[in-house]
Amino acid sequence: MTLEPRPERERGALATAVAAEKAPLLEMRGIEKRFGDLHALRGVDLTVREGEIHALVGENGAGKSTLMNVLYGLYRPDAGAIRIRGREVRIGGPRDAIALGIGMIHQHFMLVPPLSVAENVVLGDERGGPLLDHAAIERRVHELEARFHIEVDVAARIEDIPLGLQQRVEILKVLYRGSELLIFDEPTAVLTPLEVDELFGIVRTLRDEGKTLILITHKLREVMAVTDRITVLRAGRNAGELVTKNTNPSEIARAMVGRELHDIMERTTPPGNEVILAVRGLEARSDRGAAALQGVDFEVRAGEILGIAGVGGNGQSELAQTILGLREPTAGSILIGGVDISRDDPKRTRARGVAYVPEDRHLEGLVLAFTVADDFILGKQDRPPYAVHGALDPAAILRAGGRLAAEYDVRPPNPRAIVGNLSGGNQQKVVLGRELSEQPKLIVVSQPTRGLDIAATEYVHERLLEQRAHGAAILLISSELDEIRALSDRIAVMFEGRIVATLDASAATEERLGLLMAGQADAAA
Amino acid sequence: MRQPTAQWATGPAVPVVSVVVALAIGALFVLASGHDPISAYVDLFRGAFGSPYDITETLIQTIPLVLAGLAVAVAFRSGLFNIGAESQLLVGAVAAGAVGARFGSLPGPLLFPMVLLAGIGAGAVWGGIAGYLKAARGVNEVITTIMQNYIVVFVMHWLLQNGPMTAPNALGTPASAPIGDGAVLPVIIPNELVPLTRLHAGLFLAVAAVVVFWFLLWRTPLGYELRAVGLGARAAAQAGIDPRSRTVIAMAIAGGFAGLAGMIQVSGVFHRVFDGFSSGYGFDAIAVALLGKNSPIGIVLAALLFGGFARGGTIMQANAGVSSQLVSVIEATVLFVIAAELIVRLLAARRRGPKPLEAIA
Amino acid sequence: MKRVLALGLLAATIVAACGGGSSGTGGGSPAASAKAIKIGLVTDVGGLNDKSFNQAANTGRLNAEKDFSLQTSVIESKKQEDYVPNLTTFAQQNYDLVIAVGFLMQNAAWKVATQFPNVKFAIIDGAPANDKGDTANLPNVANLFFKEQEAGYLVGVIAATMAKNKVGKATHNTVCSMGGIPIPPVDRYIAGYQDAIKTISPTTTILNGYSNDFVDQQKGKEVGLNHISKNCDILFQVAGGSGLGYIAAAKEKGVYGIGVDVDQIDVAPGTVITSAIKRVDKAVYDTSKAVKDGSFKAGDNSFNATNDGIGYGKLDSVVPADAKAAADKALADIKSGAIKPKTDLTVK
Repeated sequence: MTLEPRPERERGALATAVAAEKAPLLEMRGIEKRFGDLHALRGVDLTVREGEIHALVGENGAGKSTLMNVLYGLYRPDAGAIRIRGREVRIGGPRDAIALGIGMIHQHFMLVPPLSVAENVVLGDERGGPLLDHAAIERRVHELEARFHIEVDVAARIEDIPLGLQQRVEILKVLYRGSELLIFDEPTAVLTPLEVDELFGIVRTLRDEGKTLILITHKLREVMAVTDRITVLRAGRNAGELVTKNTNPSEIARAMVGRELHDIMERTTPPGNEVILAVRGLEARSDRGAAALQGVDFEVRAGEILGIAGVGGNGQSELAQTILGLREPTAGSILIGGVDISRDDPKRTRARGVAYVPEDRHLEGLVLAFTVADDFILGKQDRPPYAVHGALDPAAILRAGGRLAAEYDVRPPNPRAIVGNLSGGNQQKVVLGRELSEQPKLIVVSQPTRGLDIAATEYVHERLLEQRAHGAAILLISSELDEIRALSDRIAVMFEGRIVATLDASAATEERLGLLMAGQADAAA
Repeated sequence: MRQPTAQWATGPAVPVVSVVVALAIGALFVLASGHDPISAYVDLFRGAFGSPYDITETLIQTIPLVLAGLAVAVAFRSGLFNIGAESQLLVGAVAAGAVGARFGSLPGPLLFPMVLLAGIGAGAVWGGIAGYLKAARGVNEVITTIMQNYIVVFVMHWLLQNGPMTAPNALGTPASAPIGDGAVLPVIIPNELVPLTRLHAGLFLAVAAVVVFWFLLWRTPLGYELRAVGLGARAAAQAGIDPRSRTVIAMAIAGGFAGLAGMIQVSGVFHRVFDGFSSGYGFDAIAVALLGKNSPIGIVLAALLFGGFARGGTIMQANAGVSSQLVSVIEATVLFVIAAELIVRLLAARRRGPKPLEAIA
Repeated sequence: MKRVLALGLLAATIVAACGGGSSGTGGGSPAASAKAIKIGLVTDVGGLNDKSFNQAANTGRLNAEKDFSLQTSVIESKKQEDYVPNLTTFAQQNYDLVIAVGFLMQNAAWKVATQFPNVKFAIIDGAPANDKGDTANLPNVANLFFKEQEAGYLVGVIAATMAKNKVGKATHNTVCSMGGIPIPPVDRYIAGYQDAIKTISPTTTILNGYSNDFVDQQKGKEVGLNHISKNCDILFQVAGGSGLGYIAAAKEKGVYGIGVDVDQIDVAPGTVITSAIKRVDKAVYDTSKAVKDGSFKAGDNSFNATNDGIGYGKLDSVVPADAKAAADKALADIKSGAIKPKTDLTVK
């Protein structure tokens, strides 16, 4: 048995192709793809040059994922050609793609938790026969780490290392297979700001070592920070090809959305004085029984947005659930307008004017199998006008659904549409319509724009600011620092179940927040 | 509002396909046993619907299947898998039989409501226990309802063989004393029209139950809440609908429907309780609910199909000489095809999870 | 939840597949001429495989079908409430003869026969009985009775001879019997059995009991074990399927059993020493022939030793020659009228 890897030039067509022709590394020409009625790709072109970091940007549904699935062999295109260094190729499946030197770093990591880093790196690679030579594997992985400046403990088990490191394992896996073209699918979605910076360091090193990278993203800041050229897709068509250093975020956004973006609504009115929500010494346990909240204190006033920043898993979810009454606090109090609601169930909490936009739209925010109209009345199903004399009034429910669908710009504006068939943005509009339509006093909002495209994000933000202007107190929990900073009057940073600092928005620089979120309160001070 | 008819309309394909596939597989079995499948199925159909008498007998089989099917479906709609319709039916039957016999001398206007409530109430309490164990203790309802089936079968055996309900002169099998005349559901078709028909007024109760099922689920806040919990328990919970209390209620309602089935079998067909009382209606009901897609019309149609199988199978055996076991094979195959479809959807749903790239569009 | 659902489905599938009840053999349909005489047989809850009178009745049906080119069918009753609908099913299809197997169907047969006066019926072991339980002859119903006491007497002779002489394992001079339910045809068997024992071996202890069931073997076995614990070593069962449990108890404890209705020597070779036989197959066969011939006779039809309607079955090798000789003599005496076995129980 031998674990001696073959030279890379034997592995990938990329390396063996004749370099002298100077054709682009990758050319996709006129790619068409239909799914039934849906025309996902309408003749898309993509050109990626060797040794560049190429951003593929676009709104949700623009076709960037479909395009990459075509490149990776997961979908067969209906029409169009793929050329690698000028030579036309047929990619019948991921195996072909890998053989051609194309590697994909998935958004959801494809790792086996109980196995070690090294074992995961070689997993699925046919070389090496049935037996594993651990020493040889580790040696080979070490070589890759050294060459690309990627640091991971090769002996550690996947389940013991954080997401940021798991992503590095994914990258090592792709490199191990000799990939020359690396596709990153939304690589920063699960990372903390510090981890994002580290990732970008690795990405640049990869480029400097001669690899070519495609970055799928809709975060313009990242596009500006790390890429060389940009291909913009909109509704299955090319909407622009830009050179990063010659463009700016608004130009990219215009290309993505196809129109000018609104400026975020100015927060003209100052927050009021009335304390709507006061949380004092709140403690609660997580589902696993660990101390998730360890003495949380804060207040939110009428007409104020308090942002809760923090790396996911530091108690934010439990905080929202405890306020709403979904989780029993073990100590402390939650006062709404001076009344302690800490022992109330969600129904009674909501009866005090509390609205809730949960972080997981699919599981918590909506009943996906319901119609738009039915989801609009969730929680109000036993009240007039929806229920009269103990019986539901389907006509009233449908009317209300239609009205709210129009008011909140749900597309299609059909109250009979099944919510699960709507896009993420339209689903969130259904949630907002339900939660904001009854002048709530307090709105607990968790990750309101996660997974939404630019237009939908913009819409959500406008609606929240509108509520603020109406005098609602808003507790905004988000892992998107840009969002927190754009909307909040004050920003509280959560770390390990505590509020480690509360800053005025004006004083909250990204660096300071980043340090606080990483638990380095001293350095941030 | 999603209309029940609309739901039926959205997916009759799978039920129809599963029945066709099951009949085809059944035909292979008939061929293998050396008979003619066409004539077997003709006899099956004629046995079920060939004469007015056959139709009334089919309906008698259909009634408990409809009600037990509703018991499974109301739980399904609430996100629960009620395997216990059989035991809920038996508990309802025992209660109805006990009250009907103990107070047998009371006049009908007094006795009948008592028997009706005893049957529904006993089923509801029995179902509610499974719901409570799930809500309060997190015990999976599939486990509890299966266990409950065993409990009831053995308790019933004791009650009827050597227990307080044993009738002194029961012939053949352990049985209770007959219920009073006031508790009997009358035969609704004159003897001159269909001689010796047993078709009883329980038919009207079954129709009423189907309407109640529809109204409850699609026209009341409680039904909305049950469906919300069934389709998205966490979404319902954050909206102020407590899934635990709705779990208890859903199982109690399910038990009530099944208990009514048992009561109707006592008051309409057997006029007493005996060992081996139910021929597995509660289990066939699972197939009925699945085949009927848990919709009112679907359940009625599926119950008619299975009722027809039960009746027609007897005749098929008598006339074509094909074992009535064939009917069991067909029923099991129907269930299998439906289960296979569920598994396919399950796998599809799992694939959607760690998909390489975010969903298109 | 979904995984549980799938599991549950699997469970349900298995339950549905297994829950179909006892298996049955179907009736064959001969080359059916348009005017073939149609004969339908309805079993009682014992089912076709009871190795007893339902099975015997079916044998008679099949023989008649073959010999007289009849079109015949059989329906197995799963519970007592099936009797009326099963009989009705044949009657409303204009069968020429509908045979109800068993005393327990007396009332059902009365109901259906009065409703379908143009259809001929036959009840094995019974006569039509109205809702009050009173029997009455109907012009379209043949009551097929057996002199079970004669068959009981014959096996009683064998048992008594063996008990008296302490043959083989029959060492305790104690014999016993078990009925299913104390109904006349059952008790007539036992009465004849007891009569023979009292006559031939007055010192022999006699026990009797009932399983109160014609189906459940376990109940029969319990009675059997109880009898054996009281020193009984020859066990005569008159309880259909339940009686097979009685025989099983004898086999388990290494004592002797006597079968009933049909020849049950093969049920437990070495345990079953003989069987009290009533020729239910002959009754069905003869009645079917009568319908074909036009000689159908309503009212009581007796099947007895004289017309070979009863007898005793094959003997195990343990049965001594003198016992067989005694039984054969008793048979001759019954035929001649010299012996008239009792129809009332000596020991209840």
